[in-house]
Amino acid sequence: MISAEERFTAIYEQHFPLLAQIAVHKFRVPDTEAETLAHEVFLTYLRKSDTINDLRGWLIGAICHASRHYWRLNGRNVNVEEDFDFDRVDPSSMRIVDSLPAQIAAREALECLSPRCQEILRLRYFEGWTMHEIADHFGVKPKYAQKLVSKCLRRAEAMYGAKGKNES
Amino acid sequence: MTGEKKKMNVISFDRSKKIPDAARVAEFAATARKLLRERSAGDVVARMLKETPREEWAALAEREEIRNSGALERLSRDISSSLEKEPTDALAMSALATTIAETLPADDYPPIVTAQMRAHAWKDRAQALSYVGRDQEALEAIERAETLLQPFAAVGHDRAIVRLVKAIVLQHLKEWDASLAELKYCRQVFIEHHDDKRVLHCGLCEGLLLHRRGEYRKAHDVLESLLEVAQSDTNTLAAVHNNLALSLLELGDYTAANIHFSEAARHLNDAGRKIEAARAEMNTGLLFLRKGKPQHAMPHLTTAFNVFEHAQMPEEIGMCGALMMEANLARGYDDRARSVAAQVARQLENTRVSRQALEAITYAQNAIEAHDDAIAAVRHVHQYFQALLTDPAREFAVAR
Repeated sequence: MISAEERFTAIYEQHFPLLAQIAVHKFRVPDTEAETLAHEVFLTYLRKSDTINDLRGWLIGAICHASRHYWRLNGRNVNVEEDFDFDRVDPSSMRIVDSLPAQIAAREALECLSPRCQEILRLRYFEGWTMHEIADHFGVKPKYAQKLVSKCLRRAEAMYGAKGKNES
Repeated sequence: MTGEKKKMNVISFDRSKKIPDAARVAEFAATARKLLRERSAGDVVARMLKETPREEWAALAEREEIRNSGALERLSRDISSSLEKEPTDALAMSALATTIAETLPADDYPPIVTAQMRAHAWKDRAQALSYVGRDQEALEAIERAETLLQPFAAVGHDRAIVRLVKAIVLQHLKEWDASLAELKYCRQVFIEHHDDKRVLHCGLCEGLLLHRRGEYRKAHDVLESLLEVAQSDTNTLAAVHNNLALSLLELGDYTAANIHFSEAARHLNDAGRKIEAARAEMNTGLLFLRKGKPQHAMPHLTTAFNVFEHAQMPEEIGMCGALMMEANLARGYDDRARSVAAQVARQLENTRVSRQALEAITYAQNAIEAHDDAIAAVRHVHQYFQALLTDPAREFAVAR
């Protein structure tokens, strides 16, 4: 019968490669940092091992969260090549995307949107999240995230137009 | 999607490329060994607390045998279980825990584990402070916990646990929107970590928030949606039933409210949480009283009174007794109200609250005797006993 310590070490050795790979490939965390993150995830797991029912799910959730937090702490420098497909703008929204950064008044239009739309556009255009990150955050596929962004942009455009008319 | 594009979106995974570093495996194994070994300190701290008067608990922080993770884990569990029955004990234990955690040598554990231990001690302190109404201090404790975790990326789950407590404290301060924002953040993190139990807690807190904000229908809908997922967790299920009942009561559906109250009490009793079950019964009685249904209140109050009497809980005996007096007075049964007052006075003799308690009960008895707005008098007595829970030294003063 294996001891608790041996069990912990076995869990570490079994799952460490997966966690480090997720940090590197999914979140593009540099190799050494990814390994540090994975190691720290395991250290934090030790004190709560008794309360975790789904070990693999918890570990994967923890490394995904840690990787995103890593970028928040260290600033983003992500190669967006992988996101290219999803970051291509819906042609019907192209005009708004071009003008949005230049128009601070667009913020006012955002305030008229639903909380979900506000959050989607804030994450995408003010915090610079990739489509993959938005998809992860809302638990949807990247393609659907792209649709959501486009839909919210169209609503913002309608609101922006309406505000302009009211003010003129 | 073409084959090439599909390939681009697949994460290539090669286990051989990420073998853990031997030094890290060794550090992890050593930490695991140390934490496992220290678990036995849990029994030591429990024994010390039992043998030491509460006023001297703070001095225990210097005892080497409990300056470790095992003792802190046990304190955390004991604080949690004392919150309901003995909030002042919980407060004293949380002060001990934060002192131990803050004075642990920095190199005893890996830095992330030390931060985790300290943050949880402060989170428990916040809960204990909040239970006795010191919500601003609770927020300061939360802030300390958040600061400790801030430098580490891998403590997302711990951070969310701390922020869940923050959401609850913010509710006490009626900061509804800020509390909802915290709950939303926490729910997302718990979903991501497959922590179903805490996802459920977030739902419960949201239901409670809507209820406190007076949005009873919305609260009911949120809570009702939790009933099915809560089936596997008796304690949470009891809380869902209890809160659903409270919302239904406000919506005027007394029959459904009664069913859910009964379910809550049944699940708490099944879980062996007799005191909480009695507290739920007492709250049910109180709510029926406030709704002008004293005849429905009495059975709940009597059940609760018997439990408090058996557990020798003087403040609760006083609170419940005052409610029973009110229920009898509301129905015109002044004799029965007097008899309850006499019974409460007997029960409270020679307890830690006896002198003040007797003054309060005598005040109620006199008001009943003189037909001098007796209901207002017994309500005042109820409030006094309730205040004793958080302020044991409080003197009784007659209502103005």
